[in-house]
Amino acid sequence: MNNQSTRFTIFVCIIAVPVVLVIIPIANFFLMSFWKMESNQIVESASFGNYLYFFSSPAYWGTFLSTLYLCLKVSAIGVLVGYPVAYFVWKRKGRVKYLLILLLILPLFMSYIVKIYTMRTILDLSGILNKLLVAFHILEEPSRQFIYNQTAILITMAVIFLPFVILPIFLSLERIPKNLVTASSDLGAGTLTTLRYVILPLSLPGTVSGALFTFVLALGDFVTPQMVGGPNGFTFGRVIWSQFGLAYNWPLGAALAVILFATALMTIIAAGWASQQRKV
Amino acid sequence: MTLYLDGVSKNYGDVEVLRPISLEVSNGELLTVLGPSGSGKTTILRLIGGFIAPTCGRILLDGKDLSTTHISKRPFNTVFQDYALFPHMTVEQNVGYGLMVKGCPKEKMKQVVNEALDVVGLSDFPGRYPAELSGGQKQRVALARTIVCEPQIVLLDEPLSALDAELRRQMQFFLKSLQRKIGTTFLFVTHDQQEAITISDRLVVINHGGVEQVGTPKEIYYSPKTKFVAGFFGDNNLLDGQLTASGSIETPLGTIPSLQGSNLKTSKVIVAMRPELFRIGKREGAFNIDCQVQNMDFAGDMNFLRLSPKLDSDRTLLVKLSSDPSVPNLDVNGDATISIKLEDIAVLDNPR
Repeated sequence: MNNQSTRFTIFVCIIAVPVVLVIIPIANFFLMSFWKMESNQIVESASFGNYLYFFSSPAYWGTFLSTLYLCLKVSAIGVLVGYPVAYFVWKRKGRVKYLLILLLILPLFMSYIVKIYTMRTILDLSGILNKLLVAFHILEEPSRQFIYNQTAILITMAVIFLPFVILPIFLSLERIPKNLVTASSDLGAGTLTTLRYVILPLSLPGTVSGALFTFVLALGDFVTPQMVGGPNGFTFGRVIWSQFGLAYNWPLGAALAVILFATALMTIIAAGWASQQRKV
Repeated sequence: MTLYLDGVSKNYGDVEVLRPISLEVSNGELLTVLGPSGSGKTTILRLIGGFIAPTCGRILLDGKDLSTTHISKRPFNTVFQDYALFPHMTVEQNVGYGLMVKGCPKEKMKQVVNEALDVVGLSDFPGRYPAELSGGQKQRVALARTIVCEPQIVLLDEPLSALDAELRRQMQFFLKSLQRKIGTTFLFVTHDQQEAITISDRLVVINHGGVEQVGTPKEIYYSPKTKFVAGFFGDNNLLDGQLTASGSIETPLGTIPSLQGSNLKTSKVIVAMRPELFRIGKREGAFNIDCQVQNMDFAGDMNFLRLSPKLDSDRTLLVKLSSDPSVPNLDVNGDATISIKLEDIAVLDNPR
């Protein structure tokens, strides 16, 4: 085998992995979204029926919009909580800094299901949150408002996805040359001024990635709503999931999944385009 | 304005990076701190700038102790080695930053920034980003950014080290003329002897965290006080010598008659002779050395002559002669006598 054909073979092998594992399944899904169900059978005749059905039934796009809103809130909370945490860790020195960041991303190595169960025991009627609130006389008696509703989903997702916000923000803070911070103080800026004009803009790409990670993860999540959402915690992820289960309508499920996929993709592209407009 | 370092030192744990030094910086001068890398020269600048706190001593500005003054409140501004321009801001925003954070009105800021850009010759690029500028242009932006703040002292941390040789010479000239024009005190840190001598009003030579000598470029160059300073500039010819009772100096290359105006403290001395102060041929009233020519290299504006003295043939003396096409080359292995005027010989204490 000569050199060129060896290289060609390697190239094909490298290309084959994403094609087989990513592109083909997505294409398959995309195709299926144009088919339809007739008496519990998938009929392979192409039409926009599933998409038209989605846009004509308020129950579907209503859930879709409220899920988008929920995911926006999850990312917003993630950034509002994650940024100060990442900033605080970044300001530590030497080993303490890396130990702290390791601790913060440690939950990423734990089982997703275990984390949701943990959150459920915290938010439950007899959970730690309620006990603390009662102990500090913030609540008269334990409340059900933290569990089996949209708030429960919001809190759980915000907590579980927090490491995905902290890590990219921390990394983008680490990439800021220390000299720029020194230069800012040297030119007369206080800590807050430096944060506003130098650190925040320069860590914006990491912050956007963190928010995006969270948004996209929350968008597709159907396990969290299932486990902590209860009957009121219906999200678009759960709707899709039910099409492949109880409702047994794979083509409609595929169409809804394509809509979700397209939304996630457009968000990522829009964020990428927005951050390219800045000289960072 | 007078800045006085009063016994300032800096230790990191057990490591003493700067021994206690005392130094006065006076108004409107261009003072250079010169030393090899790791000598503690940048530490001096960082102490003055307030980036680090001294272990001992005080930093006094017009008699007022600055030790507890925060970096952002000191009337000094720094030009960083890597310029430290804000990459997300335009040239105009970078230059105006110091005024912006002090809440200067927009109109006035624009005017001052434009003046500063004019002074550094960058008025054509206010809207560019640092990534779109060359090294020399970034340098000028960094300078403009400090001078708009009207600091009492501009601190420059090896600002030219990232530039190529030609640009470096231009910037040396530019820096000096800028400093004269605005009359602000510049404290310049460099490891480049040539650069230091070229631009400074005064020099502080430091080595191993201590001051070796303070003086004008000419004093430092022609009258070194320590062996380190004598060897640090140019390719000096150094000899060990012994001071005799009569005041003359015994060296391996012969006896140098008594020198005027020398106040030596030790009997062991070092004799330093600059290569460019030698002439070919015996002269009356000069120190004459009989030598054999090792080689002669033509370097354009100079001839580099290496000779071994007859009295100590293992030694090599370097002589620089300005090139003159009418002067014939010396024969390799031929004999030659070189001479240096007694007043051109520097003699210094050798405590070791």
